Amino acid sequence: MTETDLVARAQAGELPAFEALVKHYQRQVYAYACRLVLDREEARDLAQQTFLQAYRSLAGFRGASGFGTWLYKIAAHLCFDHLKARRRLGDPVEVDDLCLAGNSTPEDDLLAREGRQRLEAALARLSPKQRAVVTLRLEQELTYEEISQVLGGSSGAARVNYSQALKALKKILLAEKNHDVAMR
Amino acid sequence: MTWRCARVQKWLPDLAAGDLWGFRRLQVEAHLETCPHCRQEWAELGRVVQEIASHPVSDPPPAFWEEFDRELHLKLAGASPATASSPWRPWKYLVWAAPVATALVLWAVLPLLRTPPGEIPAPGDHLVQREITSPAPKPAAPSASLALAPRAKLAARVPEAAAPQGMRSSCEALARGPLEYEDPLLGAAPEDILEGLSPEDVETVFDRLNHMGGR
Repeated sequence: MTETDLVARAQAGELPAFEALVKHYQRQVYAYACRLVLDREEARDLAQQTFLQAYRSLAGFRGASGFGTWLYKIAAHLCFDHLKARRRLGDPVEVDDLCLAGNSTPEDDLLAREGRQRLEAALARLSPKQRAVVTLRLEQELTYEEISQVLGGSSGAARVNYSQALKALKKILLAEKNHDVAMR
Repeated sequence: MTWRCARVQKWLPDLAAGDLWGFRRLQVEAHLETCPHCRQEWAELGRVVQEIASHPVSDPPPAFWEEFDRELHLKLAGASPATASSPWRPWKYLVWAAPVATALVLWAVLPLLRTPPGEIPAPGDHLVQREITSPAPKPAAPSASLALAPRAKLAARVPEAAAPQGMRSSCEALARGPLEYEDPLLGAAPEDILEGLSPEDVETVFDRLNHMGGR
């Protein structure tokens, strides 16, 4: 069954069809929310809220964009609102990463964890919109046209935002690397 | 860094992400072969892309997704897509607009219908006006009467013990205003009315009688 069929069935009120769509997109939406809010527990809640809001607004989905793009748009709104609220209330205590499934050694895990933490620290210094554009382009592999549908604006603006975000990230990572070398 | 470098570096993020094609890609690659500065910039951007690619968000264990799906299923079962997502329907608001408009019109028109064409002054108003313009020979309770409203003054000036019941109720009725007014003086004996009244109150009674005779 194609995605269009599933969407049509879900719009007709079939919950199993919508849950099939959830199964297909839940990892991507969760990863996207993780990158935006940089907190796994919050990302989990926001991913659930995204699907819940999508289910409630399903009648309004006309298929002008892809279903995935539409989900990212909802997730982006929820995450940005959440970040605004968090800024008002103050940042929460950092939550440790969840355990990775797999058969890697503890040393590999440690290195991967360090690398991930370094990247997340750098991403945290970008604006939420820059984080969104980087993750949508590089991880979710959306085109600039699709990114503009998610975040608003034109595809040209999305391209410029991506370019600026990548350069900013490069500067931050390089500065951290130089700082680490100087500390050793 | 030349103007050409600035132009090429604009496209480097796209090249680093593998998103540059055709003639432009060839142009940029040709420049990179000759410009070490741009080559370094490109290499650094490539490392950033590599960094992101090599540290994806870790996929949580299956138990996480089981819990996620169970919770979400409960939430979805409690939510209704049809009722919660109904599109905007203007006629829903028009249904409410008609009664609201009617109520507003009635609210504006009803006071006009209730008011008679020629406004009848309140029975006590001319007495109060006269009291202000002509000085009273002997005020009964000056400090108290100054503090009261004009109509309340009439009722306050009649001592409860001295004034007969008919007079007291007449003054109270005067103080209440035109809508509640019932003239208790009609049908009463003159000596009953005037007995125990001060000269000022007697004058009030006579003014009232003159006023009624004028009408």
